[in-house]
Order: sequence, then structure tokens, then C-alpha cells
Amino acid sequence: MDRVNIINSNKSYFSSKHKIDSVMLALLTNRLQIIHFIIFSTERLQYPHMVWLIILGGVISQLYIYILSRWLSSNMGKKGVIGIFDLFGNVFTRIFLFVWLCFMLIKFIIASSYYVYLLHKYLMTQHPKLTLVLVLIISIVYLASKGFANALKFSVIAFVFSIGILLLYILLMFNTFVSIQDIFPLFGNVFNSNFLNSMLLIWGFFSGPECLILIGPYIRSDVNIHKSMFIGNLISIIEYVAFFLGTFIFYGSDFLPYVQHSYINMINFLQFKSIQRIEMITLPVLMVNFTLSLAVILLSSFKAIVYITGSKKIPKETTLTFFMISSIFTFACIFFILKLFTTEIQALFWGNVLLYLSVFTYTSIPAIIFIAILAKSGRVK
Amino acid sequence: MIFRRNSSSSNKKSTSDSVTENLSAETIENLFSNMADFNKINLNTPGGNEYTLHFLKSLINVDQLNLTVILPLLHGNKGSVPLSIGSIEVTEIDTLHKAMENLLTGSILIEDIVQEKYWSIVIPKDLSRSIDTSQQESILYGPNDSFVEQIDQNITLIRRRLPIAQLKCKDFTIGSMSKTKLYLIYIDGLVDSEILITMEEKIRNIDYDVFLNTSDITSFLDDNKNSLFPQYQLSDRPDVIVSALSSGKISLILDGTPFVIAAPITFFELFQSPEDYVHRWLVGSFLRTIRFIAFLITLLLVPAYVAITTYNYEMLSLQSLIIVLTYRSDVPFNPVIEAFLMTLTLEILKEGSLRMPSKIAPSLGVVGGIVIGQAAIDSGIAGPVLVVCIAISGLASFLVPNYLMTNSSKLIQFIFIGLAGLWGSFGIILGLLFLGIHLNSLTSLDRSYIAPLAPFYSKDWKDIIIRSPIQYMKTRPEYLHTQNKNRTSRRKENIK
Repeated sequence: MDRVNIINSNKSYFSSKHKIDSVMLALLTNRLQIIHFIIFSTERLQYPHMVWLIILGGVISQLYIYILSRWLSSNMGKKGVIGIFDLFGNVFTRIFLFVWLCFMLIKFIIASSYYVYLLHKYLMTQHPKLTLVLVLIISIVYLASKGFANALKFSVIAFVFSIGILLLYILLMFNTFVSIQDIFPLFGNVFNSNFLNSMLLIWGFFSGPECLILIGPYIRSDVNIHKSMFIGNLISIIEYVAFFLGTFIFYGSDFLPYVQHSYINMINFLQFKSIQRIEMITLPVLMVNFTLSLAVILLSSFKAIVYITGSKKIPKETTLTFFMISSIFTFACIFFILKLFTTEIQALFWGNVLLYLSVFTYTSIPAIIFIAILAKSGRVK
Repeated sequence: MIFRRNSSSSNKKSTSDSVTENLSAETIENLFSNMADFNKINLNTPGGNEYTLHFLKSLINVDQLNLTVILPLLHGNKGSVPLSIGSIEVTEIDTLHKAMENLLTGSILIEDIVQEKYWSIVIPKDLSRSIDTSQQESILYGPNDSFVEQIDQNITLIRRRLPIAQLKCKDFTIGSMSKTKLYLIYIDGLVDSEILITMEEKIRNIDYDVFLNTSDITSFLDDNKNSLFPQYQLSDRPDVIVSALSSGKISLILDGTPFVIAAPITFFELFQSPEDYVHRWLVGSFLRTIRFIAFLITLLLVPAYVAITTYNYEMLSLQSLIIVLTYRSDVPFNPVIEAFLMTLTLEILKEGSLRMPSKIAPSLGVVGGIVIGQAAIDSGIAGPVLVVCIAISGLASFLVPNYLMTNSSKLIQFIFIGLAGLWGSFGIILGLLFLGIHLNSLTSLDRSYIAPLAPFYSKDWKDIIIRSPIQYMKTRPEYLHTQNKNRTSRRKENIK
């Protein structure tokens, strides 16, 4: 068995004995995308006809998903980091991995901080942020300590945990003050002054799968990678469109621009006779998505560090000490960032930083890999 | 090395220095000195043969000794022991170690003084109790027999239900002192060879002196020894074990205990009961769903009370909140202490009723449940809402058919109460998250514990929460990777 025990550091965190299947891959793609949606939310899109931009963004995202799936299906991609070495060569791989690692870690730190900020703002006002960061980091490290394969497999549990929230949103639509008229007009000029910002925001929603470039060795050989990732992205498109239209139906286009974090706030209005303030359950439940995404990023970064500092053939032994030091380092970074996360304006700033980073990484990483594959195949010919 | 296959026992090292000596009547008598049940009989036959019979009277069947050994030897005139005793298997013994082992496991040792040879005949004393109804997994409709302590009788119970030549049984001996017999049972041509190899390897690595109970072996076989969840199914019902074997699982029978192991298992299988298949499929599915809900109630009801009364008052409607707070206002403890105290009391009552004689146990239930509960409310130690929550969660915990799981869920409940006291609803969700991560990484015999959820096997969902009609369950569980996937005889590859 390749289960990684945090107490027994001799076992590898990266054993690929147990591989993921198509369902896990689809849900993994979906869950990695969804955390950006929770952070950015849709209220900035302003008009109902922006739904077409979401669909357009989803379609373009399918193209990027196609590039990533081609990479993961290729012989090089199946080798994971070794495949990156084969693609870029020794020096360029280290540079590529280093840059990729920096972006991923910054994304990891800001996303964690943002979730803690949301948790503190909406639910745990009386608790110090330090405790919340610590709890989040412990959950991420606990999942990561189970090994890469188990962390990827956790996508199914994350989906099962959080899918119930979607059902609650559907219940919201049965409120008496909800008006279907508010989603009209569905057609309008999408190329307005806000087009670029909207497009960036939508592109940010779909980012996330770029941190999967190293998971090739963990995918079962019989999995149709493109089909799985395509379905994962499709689920994201459906979720985003449904939620976006849902916010218009619920708040109306006049009120929506004044709402902050509509994804979290909306559920506030769901009340039953026996139980109210459902967001006290849903907001902590969203942590599963963050734990999954951040554990995958942490393990990928950890793997990249091992290969950057070691050689291609014999990577440095992955030890518990090394793993714990990396985790403590990220914890310190998150705590530092949180110090700069006290006001709404600062939160908006860091949210924007995360958005631009996500847009940049999702655009550049598949593109670089695509160009490198083309260049390599050209050289081979 | 403690483990060995019986067939190769002659090659193994002896357990004491004395057994390295030569095999002779004197050394045997020295070894078994100060043992009141050790007997020696000298026989001089009319044919001129001289025999000495050595045996432990407490371990052998004396009637059988007289009828099938002593009488034929006295009347036999054919020269050698095997020829004189034609009806039973006679084995020649050439080492002291082997002689000692046979004597200690219910054999007699015959010393042929004329030919200077030693022979062993197995005639163990029959100590088995009669086959009784299962006390742990009783069902209303269905077979009533259960396993007993005698390993061979247990094999008979299985073989009667599965009269096929493919039912294989490998024997092992574990425990350097207890020399306990262990049978590994599986259906050849059905079970995944990987599972079989993994299990055999695990058995070979067992290193301990005494094995008295099935749970003693499971702790050696567990993939994760620190997990709260059972990674093997224990059952004393032959129908449950036969069903597991026919699904493509393997089974372990240990001598001296009526509980048989089936492996691998999944988390969802712990909620299945043989009675599910007795009821109409809709009723069976309904009962199974109730068990899952009951499990969640066990884990979450009391922690939810603690969370609501500590941090998340807003979650209750005003009407409900007034009721809870009115009754809680007289309680001097905070909700966490209150919940801990009352849950602990319930656990003490449960443990007490388990250890007490069966005739007193119901009285303890009445005293505990009604008298202590009411007294706790009247004296202001606990609020009535909490007592109701604890009573419901206590009852719900017994709906899970697996008793090991019931106890695990109670411990998890305590952890959740603590988390709810620390962080309210966030604490409970955090506990569930950690539980999810743990279950996600857990394996039983290297197979995912949360299959068929992850990895996702769509066909296996016919018998997880919903119990489909048996006609629709044409395939064996996919997560077991059986060599033969189909249960119906129309398929070509099926076992004949």
C-alpha cells in the first residue's frame, strides 16, 4: 500500500500505485475552478446578457483544457516532472518550474488568506485569524500528507460535500420575491466599456486546471483525459451560468451591483421554520474545495521544489522534515498576507491580484506547453 | 519465524532447546514430566510386537483410541502399525519436535519397540458446542445457525452452502505459543489474485506468541492501525461469509473463535445487514437509508446542540430558541460540559449493561434511561432538550449492524462535541472534513475504503444505499476486480 503516513516519513508522498479514474479527474477539474468563483463572485458582471460571455469564456476554456489534456495524455505528460525535463531540457525546466512554483505558491497564499478573510468576516468574527489560518493549514497539510494520489482522489468527497449547497440555491429560487423577469434582457451589447474587465473576471473563474500539469503519472491509463476534463469544465460552465442567472433572478439587476460576495450572501436569505442562517453551515463546507485545491497546489509545488533542487534522475528524498518546513513557510506567508487583509479595500486589492495571477497562469502555462510541444515536434521532424 | 504452512512444518526451527535432542521414549517422558494428563500404555501383542502408546488424555478421544487403535493393534498380526490400523491415517515420525507437536495437538504417538519406529495418529477430543443461533447478528427471517469455536465445523458450515471444488482452503499456523490454526478461504477462479497475495503476505508477517481472538489477527492485518474504522468484517453467520466469498472476497477462520473475517470491505458495506435481502427490495432499501441517517444522527445531533447553544444561536428560529434557552437557563454547566457528562453517562450505562448478567441488564436500562435521565433534568445537571438528543443519538448508534462501527461512531461523537464547543458549526464541518480525508485515504486490503464512491463504480451502486432486486444484481462488486464478474449462469465464463 502506498498510503503516506505523516509519522513515517520514509514513504513517498508521490507514489502512483493508486491512480485516479475519469470521474475523479472530471470533478478535480471542476473543483479547482470553483474556488476562484467563490472568491470573485459574479456581481461585477452587472448585466444579465453577460451570461453569453461566461459561455464564451467556457468555450475558450475548453480549448485550454484540450491543450492540457493533450499534454497529460502524451508520453511526456504521463511522466510528470520528468516529462517536463524531456520537453524543456534541464536548464529551461528548472526556470519554468521555478516560475510556475512562485506563481502557484503566491496563488496558494492569497487564496488561503482570502478564504480566512471571508470566514472571519461572515462567520467567525470572535475568533482570531491566526487560529483560522492554522486550522486551514492543518487540514491542507493533513490531506497532502496522505499523498498525491489520495489528495487527487479527494475531489469526489469535495464534490459530494459541496454539491448540497447547489440544491440550497435551487430552493432559494422558490422565494416569493424572486422574479424571473430580472434576467431579461438576455441579449445586449456585451462589448461595452466593461468588456475587458468582465472577460478577465470570467477567465479567472475558469482558471485552476493549470496546476494539474504534473498529475500525468497519477491518471489511470484507460482514462479518456480530454473527455473527463471537458466534462469537468462543462460542469463549471453550467454551475456558473446557473448561479449567475440565479443572482439576477434573486437580487434583480438594480440591486445586484451593491451586493458583495453574492455567492455567500445569497444563502443568508434561505430560511426554514426550524433552521435559519444556513450560511453558517455552507461557508465552512466550502472549505473542502479550498483544502483540495490548496493541497494539490502544495504537493505540486513540493514536487517542483524537489526536482528544482535535486537532479532529474535522482530527485532528493521527500522527507517529512522538508514537507513540514514547506508547510510552516506557507503558513508564515499566509499569516503575513493576512496582516495586509484588514480592510475591504485591501481585500479587493488582493482579490484583484489573485484574479490577474489566475488569468496569467491559466493563459500562459498551457500556451507555453503547447508552443514547446510544437517546437519539439518540429525539431524531431 | 512463527508463521508456517503446515505442510512444511518439518523444516522449521524448534521452539526450545530440548526438542533438538534425539527422538526416544526417555526424551518424550522427560519433556512431558509433571504433566498429570500425560499417559503411557505398553502393549504386547500375541504376534510378538511390542508397542508403547504416548498421549495426553485431555486432548485425545479415549473411546476412539480403544476402538480404532488399541483393538486393531492387539488383534493385528501384519507386522507394521499402518498395516494393523487400516482405517485411520498413520504418519511416521522421525523428529522429537514433530512428535511433541503432534502430541500437543491431539495425536497419539506409537513407539514400535521391535522395529524402532515412531508413528502418529490424529484422534483429537471433540470439544465443540452445538451450533447455536447468532447472538450478535440475529435476524428475524433467515438461517439461524452460526459459527462455533471448532475450525473444522466452521469449514463444514461453509462447504455445505458452497459445494464447489473451487472453494479452496489454505492452512497456516500462527502464534509461537498458541500454535493456532488459521484457514484462508477463497473461491479459486473468482478472487483477484492480488488480494490473495497481499493477504498471504500479511499472514506471513504476523509475529506474535498467542492468538485467542479474531481481533488479534485483524490488528496485524490492518492497512491503517490507527484508524477508528474496522477494516475487516467480522461475522459469526455462515450465510454472511458465504455471501462475501461468492462476491469474490477472502475469508479467514481462526481456530477457537466463532468470528470469521471477510475482506476486503468498504465503508458502505458496514451498513448492510443480511436482513436487507429478506425484505422486499423497497423495504430493504428504506431500512438501509435509515441506517445511514442514524449514523449521521449519532455523529452530529449532540454536537449540533452544543454548536447551537454555544455559538450559533441564530440558526434556530426564535420559537425553538426560546424553548432551548428556557430549559437551559437552570443548568450550571456550559453546553460542552453538559453534553460530555450526559454522553459519558450513557456510555457508562451501555458498558454496564454489557458486562452485567443478562437478567439484570434490562433493569439497568430502565434505571439508567428513566430514573437517571429524569433525575438529571430535575436536579438541573442537564436540560431536557439535551437528554432527548442524547437518547435519540444513543438509539441511532445501534442501528449500524456492525458493533465495532457503533463504538467507533461514539468516539467520533465525543471528538465532534469538543470541536463544536470550540468553533460551533465550523468545528463540526471541520470534523467532517477530517473524517472525509481520513476515509478517503483508508484502504482495506489495498482496496479503497470508500469504493464505489471513489473510485467510482456505477454498477456497484445497485447494492449500496438502494438494495436493488437480486435479479438486477447480475455482476459482482467491481471494486473487488474479480476474475469472473458475472453472477448469472448464462454468461460463458461463469463458474460451473
